[in-house]
Amino acid sequence: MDTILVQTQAFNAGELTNRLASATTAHGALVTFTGLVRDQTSDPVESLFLEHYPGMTDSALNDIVAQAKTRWPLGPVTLVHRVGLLYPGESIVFVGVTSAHRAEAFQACEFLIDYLKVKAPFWKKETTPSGQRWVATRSSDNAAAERW
Amino acid sequence: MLAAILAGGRSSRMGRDKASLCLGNQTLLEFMESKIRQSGLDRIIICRNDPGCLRDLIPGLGPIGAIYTLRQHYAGSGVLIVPVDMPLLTSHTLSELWRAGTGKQSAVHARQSYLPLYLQLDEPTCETLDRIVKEDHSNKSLGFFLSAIGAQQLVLEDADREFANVNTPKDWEDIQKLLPA
Repeated sequence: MDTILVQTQAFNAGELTNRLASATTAHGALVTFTGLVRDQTSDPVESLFLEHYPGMTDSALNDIVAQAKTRWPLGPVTLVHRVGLLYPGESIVFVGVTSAHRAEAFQACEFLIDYLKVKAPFWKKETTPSGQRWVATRSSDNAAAERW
Repeated sequence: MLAAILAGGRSSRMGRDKASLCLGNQTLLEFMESKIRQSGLDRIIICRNDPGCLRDLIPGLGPIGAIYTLRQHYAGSGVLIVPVDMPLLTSHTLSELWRAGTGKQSAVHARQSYLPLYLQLDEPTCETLDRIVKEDHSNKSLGFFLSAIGAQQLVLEDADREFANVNTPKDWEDIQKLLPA
């Protein structure tokens, strides 16, 4: 059973991992990815506000997971994305994938986060010492998604 | 009953103008025009940087730029906005979107895609659009605009294939095979 959530509240990656592990005994590999809000000394970010498009977001996330399952033989998948106000160091996104073997699990996890970055309707607004700015999709994100 | 075809994209991945692609003895633009007429919409505006077409007032903004231009000319109207590069769309789907949009007096698109889109160019919608276009730092993506105006999403079962769009020569080759001869 997959878990696909968009939520404002913080999540605990360890708990999500344990829950995913206990959801299956038929799969020998579990790979997770956690994305964090990043601050950089050269380009400081005070906070991040994530907006999304309710309805379309759920649909996009479900589609992305369905696409991953047509490419690799996967067990249960967990995908959690936060929205709202976040600060550097906080977790934004969690991707957890199970599969019989590690190669498929690693690839599917990477595919899911690459696709999520460009296909799901999330928009980031950063607050920096010099004001607010919307973050555009990076060309490196597009390139990462296109290689699949 | 007003429709607008978005036919002004850069077609960069296609390598040539998508609106001019040939489909039998028609261009893709002509093909989409006739499909829209079949759905019962009789006034069709072409958004494109060509003589006789509606040219973007602010170039380079993509679909939002075309919608902003439509807003300047047709404020107060309802319009079905159709991309030129979705030849598998059926006239049934287009009329369903029109019916849902005029019924709800609200922006409506299918769950599968932001376009085609029924847009009611009412005052709140125009205000949101103006703000998004004019504020330097605002997000100018179509999805963000639709989210901001609370567009409704129509669930069209078994219609996923219709929303396939032509972006690359390979897409065009695949889609042509699915079109009736």
